[in-house]
Formats: sequence, structure tokens, C-alpha cells
Amino acid sequence: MICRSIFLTLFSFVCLCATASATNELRITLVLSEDTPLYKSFSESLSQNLSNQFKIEVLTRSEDFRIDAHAPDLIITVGSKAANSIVEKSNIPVLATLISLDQYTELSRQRPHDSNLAAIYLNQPLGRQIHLFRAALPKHTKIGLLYSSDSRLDIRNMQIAFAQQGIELVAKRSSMDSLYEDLSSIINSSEVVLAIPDNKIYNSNTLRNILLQSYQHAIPLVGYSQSLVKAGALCAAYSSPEQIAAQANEIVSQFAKTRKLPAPQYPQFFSIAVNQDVAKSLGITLPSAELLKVRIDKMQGGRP
Amino acid sequence: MKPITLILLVSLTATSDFALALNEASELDYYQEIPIVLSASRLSQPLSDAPNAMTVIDRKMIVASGFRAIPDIFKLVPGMYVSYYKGSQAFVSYHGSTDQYARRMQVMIDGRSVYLAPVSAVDWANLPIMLDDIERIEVIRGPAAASHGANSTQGVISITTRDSGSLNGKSVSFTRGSKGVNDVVARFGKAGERFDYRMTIGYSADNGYDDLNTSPNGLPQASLLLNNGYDSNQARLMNFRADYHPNEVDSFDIQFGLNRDVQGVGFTDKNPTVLNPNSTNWNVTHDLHSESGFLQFGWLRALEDGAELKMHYYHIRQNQHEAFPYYYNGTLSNSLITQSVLTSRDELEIQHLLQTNDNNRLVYGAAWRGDRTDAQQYVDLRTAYGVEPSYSSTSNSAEYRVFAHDEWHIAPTWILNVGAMFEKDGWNNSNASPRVALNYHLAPQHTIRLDSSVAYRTPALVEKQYPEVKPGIVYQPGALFVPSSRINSPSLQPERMDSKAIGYVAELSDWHSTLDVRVFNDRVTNGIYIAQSEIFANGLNSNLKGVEITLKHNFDSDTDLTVNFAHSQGESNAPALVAAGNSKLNPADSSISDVFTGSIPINSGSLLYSHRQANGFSYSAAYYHQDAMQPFDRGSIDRQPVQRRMDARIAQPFRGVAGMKGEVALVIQNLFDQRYTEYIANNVFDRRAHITIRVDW
Repeated sequence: MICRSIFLTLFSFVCLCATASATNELRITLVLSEDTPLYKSFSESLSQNLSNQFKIEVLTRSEDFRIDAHAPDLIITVGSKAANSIVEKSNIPVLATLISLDQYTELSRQRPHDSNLAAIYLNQPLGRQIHLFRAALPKHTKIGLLYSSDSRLDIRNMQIAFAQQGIELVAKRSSMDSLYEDLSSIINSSEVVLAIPDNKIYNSNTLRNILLQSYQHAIPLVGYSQSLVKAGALCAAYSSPEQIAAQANEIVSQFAKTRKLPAPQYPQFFSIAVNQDVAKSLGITLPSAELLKVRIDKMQGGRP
Repeated sequence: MKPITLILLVSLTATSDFALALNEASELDYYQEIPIVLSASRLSQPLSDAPNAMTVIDRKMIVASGFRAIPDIFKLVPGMYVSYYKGSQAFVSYHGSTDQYARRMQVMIDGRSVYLAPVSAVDWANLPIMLDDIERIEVIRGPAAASHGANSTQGVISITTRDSGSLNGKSVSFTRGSKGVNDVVARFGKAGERFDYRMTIGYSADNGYDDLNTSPNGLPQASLLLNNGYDSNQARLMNFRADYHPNEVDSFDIQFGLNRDVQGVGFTDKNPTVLNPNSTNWNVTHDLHSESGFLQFGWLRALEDGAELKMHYYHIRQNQHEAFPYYYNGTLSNSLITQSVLTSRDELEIQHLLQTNDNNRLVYGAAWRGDRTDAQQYVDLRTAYGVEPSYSSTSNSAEYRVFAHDEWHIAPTWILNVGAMFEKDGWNNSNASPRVALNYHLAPQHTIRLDSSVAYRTPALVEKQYPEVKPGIVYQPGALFVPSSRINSPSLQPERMDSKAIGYVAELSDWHSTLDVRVFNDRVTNGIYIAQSEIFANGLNSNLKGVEITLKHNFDSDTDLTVNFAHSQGESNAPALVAAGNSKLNPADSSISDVFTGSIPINSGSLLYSHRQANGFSYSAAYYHQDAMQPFDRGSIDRQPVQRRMDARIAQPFRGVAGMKGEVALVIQNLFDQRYTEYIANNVFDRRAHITIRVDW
């Protein structure tokens, strides 16, 4: 770890020196929310892939960011904490990464109508979720969804999109007080549960019992993260920090040419995680993660 | 006081602020580490990969069946024989052929073995558990000693109780019905961050079977018609479970339960009458008091790469006592017979499960079990047998076992299960029980299974030490067995079961159906039977062949159908043993040549259909059939004619005041009043109904 930090600092320094002479080169500041492996894996992956003509500075603490004469051309924030603190402080173009759609919506209120703000969401696009269901569970046509009052999901729109694929989405608003009761009603009225990153519903206190209950009723749960699949969800589409870094890399290259940020976007690169043990136990024949990925790519017609 | 309140207030406000800040899903939701919840030992094996034929009865089926008593659930298992010696004394046996103490199956509740000394039978009415506490029941049909320990000869019943996190709130239900059915159950629990618990407190009572004045099947009333009119049951019980998961790898569970049960026992047939003024009845109607309890502690640790370490310890205790007068030569005694049996069991088991590679999983472990029985009888027998008033016996035994079981996915289409258990039982017999099963996936949804296994049944304490007040004088009054203080069947060895079966499992997902067929050949050698004057001996060899079929079909996600059918045919050397002078094996009826064959229903089956509507209204219907049979050790009057029975249940949910919710359910058993007799001719099962009102909040 220490070696890496030193390396990164050195690397930033070298970049700084190398690009000092070139006046027109893009200067990027990478601001991490915290000095933890999650954010660092993103920054390492991005730093390694970015063209070396860019000048990159990495700040492992968002508090260290100061606006001075050498203001960067682009700030890439990694995680929600960094995004919130940077957007407050400056008007420099910001690409927010490792941030959820809801958090970005909140963030963009601070800079309304600002084309200098872009993001790569953590959320997988709805179309991809639907394709995952079609590819993994073609015979399951009734999906249960629990969401809290905090969720900004457009349920109506989701239901229409699923219905177009012949899938009924049974959605139920829930809260901490009625969570297990609502869960059992969802479990009883659907064939599969779609878990969403809504921490009023799915958090470390509740996930254990939610997974146990759905399993005991032989109802699979489709998750949103790799570790949720490991814990007992059937499958999930997710994007790793490295995959999001690769997308950020593309945006940066584009920005270097046009000096314009694209509209906020969903993750382009993603992986599929499956839990074959859970599938087998529930009597579900699930294709491998690789095969599911190929099928979903095909359904998307090559579109991300 | 005030500063504390203030601090509390401040900290509460602080927490809610914090919660607000975390409202939106963040990257932490996407990337947080979550401990493995559905670990290998929690995942049940799919039917197509399992080394045995298995019947799974889940909560939905339990509810749909409308049953009130746990043993009745097993009517939904193909080939299972469920009967009642008294209204409160049920027994469950796979493939019939049993007396009222079915003792050839392993019965476990959350891994706790509940068949107890001295009889090695399960006292279903005295289990500290209610039907509402059960999440699912898995029944392994066929021996499974390699994975479920000693005495798993005919099969294994494995009951899993509901997780403590499954109940979040309070629930009270009242049941009233015919035959004095009167149940009250209160349940409450809470699912927390690290600690979940649930508690059940219940009272369950009924009057058992009606008393009969005449023989139900028109046969003359013989002394073997035990008039079971006095067979009511009142149980008061509690069951507690807590799960504690302090970190991401460890989880602990602690459970305890109590049941104080009063059963009506004894019979009136042998009381002196005008016709028979000098009769003797050592078992007049009286109350049997049973108190049972258990304490169980479990620990599960998740290790690297899907491996697990698991340990459990439990203590079970049952204290039964009875006191009653008796008729001797037509005279009612002026003193009481008092009998008490205190039995306890302790077990410690540790096992390690590891995924040795992607295709191979190994479980191995070791266990120790201690059983203790203290029994006493007090009665002045000087007039009858010239024996001093009391005797007592104590028995202590320890059993050790080691086991290993390997599941190897040789190729995507082949699975080999190999396992074995080595045990040293309480009588110092050493047995090895191996098992091999090969599953071949003919096609993705079609599996053929070949399995072969061996299992042993250790003689029960009463089989070795049958109640005997003095050498040669067998004396067993009342309902309890007070084992003799000496071993009167010293050469008794464990009986051995060899089972071979071919299974076929089809998981027809296009048809929303699964089909499970098992063709089996079970051979018992060294079988234990009553030879002469309650002395047990080895030597009853029998063979049972048959087929069992289960079809499950989901019409849609709210409509299920389960159909079970079993056909079996047995043969044994009982006729030869009779010819050699073993009159105890003489069939009760001259139309039966083999007491073993006659005691197995040739065909039996069940059907359960259930439907749930979106508004919560649900209905279900069940049908049960069992061919005629002659109970193994009963007289001809107790012959069980064909059983046909239809049950129905309807339930309507309701919403009450203050967010209360509930359900009213009506169950009618034997809807068409097709009366049939159970194990004892007096036990006539006629139409009955009960209604349950449940309120949750």
C-alpha cells in the first residue's frame, strides 16, 4: 500500500514535470472520496490507462483540494463524498464517477443547467436489467420489487418497460417498520425478487433475513452487486471500478479533443455474476456468467 | 435522570441526522462486502443431485394441509404410515410394519435427534415445538446413516424450524374445533442487526378419539379392543430461538423449549364387569404427565473458499410419571402403582465442510452422544407375584461416531456421492454404514440415480432390558416402560438394513412439473422381534420391494398440486419362525400368512391441491388413501380397513383496527365422513372441523 502511494505520488509528480513544458496539455485532478482500496482501484486503473500526454494529479482526500493558479482543466471525482465537496467548491468541469443516479440528481441541483457536470452512474440501465431477466430467467414473468419512499425510481415507467417484454412488475413501497411483512407479500405474489440499491430496504441489517426468507420460499433474488450474489442472490449485472475507469478514460479522451463533457451516462462496461449453488438448489438451470453476458450483449444489439 | 435523557435525546437526533445523510444509495451499497448468507450447509441439495430419494414439505404445504399435529404431515410422504395408538400417541413409520413405538427412523429437529430412550421412539405430543415453528421438513426415504447418524435405517425425518429473523412482530392464534380442540398460540420475534429472536408460547388440547360402546367393525369385542375413550391431551409449551451473528463469518444460534403435557392413558376393557367379575387391569384410565425440555447451542463459521466449520451441542430431558390404582382379581387396589422414567441425552457434534475444488465437496466430522435413563416403579406385588414393592433401573450409555461424505461432480452429467459412518453404539457394537450413489443427468432435466447403502439400528433399551420385576416375570403396567435392571435379551445385536434403489427425477420446467420415481429393494437382516414372553431376538429377515412416485405441478405461481403414490410388497421369514415355534409372530387373522407382509399397506397415496388468490383468500383440498392392512402386533379386531379421507381448508385474510391483520381459516377433516379405524379398532376417525383465527401486528 505504502509503495503504491509513493508510486502514485511519484507518478503524479513525474506527470507534472513531464507536462509542465507543454502548455496546451490537459490537466486532470483525480479526487478520491477516501484513501481506501475501492477508490484507489479506480484511480490506479484510470491512471494506468490514460494517455501519458495528460497531466494527472491524484488527491486521496477531497479536503486537500484547493483552487489555485494551476487549476486543472477537468476534475474526476471518485465516489459521492468527493463529488459533493468538489462541486460545492469550484466551477471547473467535473466528471463524477462511482456515484449513483440519485446522488447525481441531488448533486446536479447545485449546478443547474451546467454542461460542465457529467457522470458515469453506478446504476445499470433498465434495459440491461430487463435483458438480464430475459437471458437468465426466461420463464419467470412476475417480478417483485420493494422500494422505499426515498427511492426516485419511476415505477410506472419501469412497469411499462418490463410489460413490453411480457414481464409483470409487482412493486410495493415499504419502510423499515413493515419491511418483512411487505417482503412476504412480494414473495407470495411473484416468482423472483429484484433487489435495488435502496438502503432503506437493503442494508447490512436486513440483507441476511431478506436472503433467507426469499430462499426459504424458493424465490430467487436478483441483485445489484457482486458481493450480494456471493452472499446468496441468484445473479446480478454490475460494473467494477475498473470497468467504470475504462469508460472514464474514453470520456477524458473525448474531452481532450472537444473540451466538452458528454451527458451523464450509465455504465458502458459491465459483468454478470451468478451463484450457481443457489441456482441449483432452487432447481434453476442458469447459463454461465460468460454466456449470459454474450446473450445480453446480443440483445442490446451491440449497444452499451 | 435529566442528563441521561438529554444525552439520549442528543444521540437519537444524531443518529437520525446520520440516517438522513445516507438516504441515497451510494457507492458503498454497490461495493460493500456482504457476509455469505446462503452458505453450503444452508442450501438444500436439488433433488437431481441428492444421493437419496427425498420428500420436501415446505411451509406452504404445511399450511395448505390444514393439519394441527406434526405427525399427520407425514401422510404427505409416499410410503409413510402414520397412525395413532391413542389420540395423543401418534407414530410414524416408513413402510408400515411396526408396533406403536415406531423406532426405525431417525427424527431430527434442527439437527437434534429426538427419538429417546428407553423405547427409542418419538413422543410427538411431548415435543417442545409447534407446527407454526416449522419452516420445512425433509424426509429422506431410505437409509442415510452416512450423513444423518445412527438409527437412520428406514429413513430420516429432518425438521427445520423457522429462522428467528422470520418473525418480526407479534401474532396470536386461537383454534377451536370438534373433539375438544382448543389451541392458543402466541408468537413474537424481532429481526435485528446482529441479533434475531423468536418465541412461541402455546397451549394445545383435544379430547382424542370418541369412546365407543360397540366394536366399530362389527366383530365381537375381544380383550384386544383397547377402549381408548380416555385419551385427551393438554400440552403447554414454549419454544425460543435466537440467532446471533456478531461478525461476517460467525453465526451462533441458541434454542430452548419446554413442553408440559398431560395425556389420558389406560383403558377400561379389562375392568371387572358383570360377565367377567374377576378380571385384572394393570392399566386403568389415568393421566400420564410428561415434561420435556431441551437446550441447544450451535455455531457456524464460514471459512475461505466456501468452507464451513459447524458445531452443535444439545441437552434433552424428558421426565414422565404416572400414578394409578389397579384391578386385581376383580378388586380395586387401595394403593397406587407409581412409575417414573427420567431420560436425558447430550450430544456434541463437530463437522467441517470444504470445497476441495470446483467439482468436489467433502464433509467430515465426529460426534459423541450420551444417553441416560433412570426409571422407578413402586407397587406392592407380593399378592400377585411374591415380589417386594419397588424396583428401579439406571442405564448410561455413550455412543461415538465419525463420518465423512464426499460429493464429486465427475463430469457435468455425473455425480458420485460416497459416504460412510463408523459408530460405536451404547452397547459397544461397532458398525460401519457405507453409502454410494451415482447420479447421471441423462439430459438437463432428467436424472437417473443408483444408490446403495447400509445402516444399522441399535437395540432400544427396552428391547435389551424389557420390564421384568423378577427373572421370568414380565410386568409392564401403565403406559411407561420401567426397564429391567438386568439385561434379559443379552445377545441382541443391531439389525441391519441393506437398501438398493433406482431413482428417476424429471424437472420439467416447461410443464412446471417435477416427477420423482423410486424403485427400491430394502432388505433387513438380523431384524429384532419379540420371540418368547417379551424376550427380543434377532432373526426376522425381511425384504420389501416397491415403487414410490411423487408428482408436483404448479398450474401457476399460486396454484400447486402434489400427488404421491406408493406400492410395496414384502416378504419375510416370519412364517418359518412361526413354524419353528415363535407363536408371537402368529398372524392375527388366518387369511394372512406372513405377519410382516400383512402389516404393510400395498398401495397408499395422497394428493394436495392448493390455490391462493391475490386478495389473500386461499383454499386447498387433500385426499388420502391407504389400503387395508393388519397392524403388526394387534388382534384381528384391529384390522385397518381401506382408508379414504378428504380434507379441505379455506382461509380469508382480514384487516383490523390499528394496522392489525389476520386470517380466519376453516379446516374440515374427513369431509365425507368416510370413517376409518387407526391402529386400534376403537380409534375411529370421523368427520371433524376446526377454525383458526390469527391476528398479527
